[in-house]
Amino acid sequence: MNAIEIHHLSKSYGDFKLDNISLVLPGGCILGLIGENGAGKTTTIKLILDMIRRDSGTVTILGKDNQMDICQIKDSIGVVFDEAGFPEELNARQIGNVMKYTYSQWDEDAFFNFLEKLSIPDKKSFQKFSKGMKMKLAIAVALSHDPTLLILDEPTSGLDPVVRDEIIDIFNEFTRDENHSILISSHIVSDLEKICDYIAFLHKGKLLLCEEKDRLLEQYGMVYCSKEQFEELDFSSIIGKKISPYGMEVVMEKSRILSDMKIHPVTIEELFINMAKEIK
Amino acid sequence: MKGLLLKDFYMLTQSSRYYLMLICVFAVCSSFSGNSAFLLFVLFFIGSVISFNLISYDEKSRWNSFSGAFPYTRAELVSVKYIMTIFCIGINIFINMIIHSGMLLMTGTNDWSSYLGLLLVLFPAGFIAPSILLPATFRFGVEKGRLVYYVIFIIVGGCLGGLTALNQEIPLSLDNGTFSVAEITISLISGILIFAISWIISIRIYQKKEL
Repeated sequence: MNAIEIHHLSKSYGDFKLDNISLVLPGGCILGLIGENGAGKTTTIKLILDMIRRDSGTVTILGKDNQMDICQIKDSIGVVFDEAGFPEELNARQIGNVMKYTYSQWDEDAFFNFLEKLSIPDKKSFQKFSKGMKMKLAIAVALSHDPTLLILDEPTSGLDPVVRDEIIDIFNEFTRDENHSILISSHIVSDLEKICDYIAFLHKGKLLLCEEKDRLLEQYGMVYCSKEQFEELDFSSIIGKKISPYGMEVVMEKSRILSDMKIHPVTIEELFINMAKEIK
Repeated sequence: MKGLLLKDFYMLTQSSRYYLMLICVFAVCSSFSGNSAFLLFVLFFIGSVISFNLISYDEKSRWNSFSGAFPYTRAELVSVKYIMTIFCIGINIFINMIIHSGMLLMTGTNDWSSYLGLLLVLFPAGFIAPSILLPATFRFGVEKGRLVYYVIFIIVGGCLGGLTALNQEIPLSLDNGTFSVAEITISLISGILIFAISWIISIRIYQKKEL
């Protein structure tokens, strides 16, 4: 079963439109939603959670329409936003108590284990937490009710590399169970590259691609060439290019690269930046 | 909804010391003037705006948006504020009854009938402010809702101040004797009706709201 299926999803604000998005997150996989600030990542996630009204399209989560059984669906989902919105006056223990009466499958022992593992103080009020600590608490809450799907909106933004790595490890641990899936959005592409099975690029409200990460890395490569060599390339297979005084840096389909050119591996970040720049 | 209620109770206990201080100040003023009707008025007002304050805390911490990710219906997210309003008004009535008992003990009288009559008339009146304030806050947010709050405050204060300035007797006071059953019934039914309509309107507003 697919964890998430989105078909022709659109949402329009005055100056922004999320335009006809279709993507699928297969069960047991991690899908990374990559896009610059304002690309539509949070809008997509809020539409999935039915927090905002869609203009058109359908969203199915764990096999259910998100407008039919949203409460039941949310009971099986762990959600983390870029800013954890817990009441500032409450401490972790009190937040745990609130969640005990919020989720039907709340596991208090698991929650306190996470608090201990992530060094989160249980009696300190939330407003005195650092940004990293707030995010860790949000993740502990998201994981302590036996969810089958995690929806994470920029969970690592604004965090130092050590905390980010710690958090990425937790997500890796979560997906050891083959029934567990994650939809994670970020503009820190290197984080997503580490853990994702699928990658979706969002740019100015449009979905540029949604593809298996390994296939993308296999399909595309980078070549360094002169302007004369560039003229000989198949332009339709070029994703993006960068001109410098030393020559040209071209990202394109590996199969169309001329045989005498050396192919360099491309990262997801390079692929995304080139694609986004080319569309600009 | 138990989780939402618990969350608001926790928040209420955090700020309860300020409310208790406020109540103490007014209780002292009221005991000096010997008029517990004034205190009753103030307590109803405090009780009726506590839910508004809870919403403003939610907005400050962004819980109002974050709560949309949890397995709660929009109706539950709204209803918890109305339940808290009933609870706070109930608590304030209880506090006022204790203070009134003390005042009766001090004066050596045992006049409960006019007090209870006034209580039953003011009890539904206490629901009028939140009935206006809560839908406005759910619709326009705390900042604009605060304007409604000030307007209500000015109207109530203005009426009381105006009557005092004109040297008129405040109509709702213990000296007016007991209220008739009809007056109490009309007051109760209209108060409950206004509160129920407000509750339904707020749910409809929140169901359309983008979190």
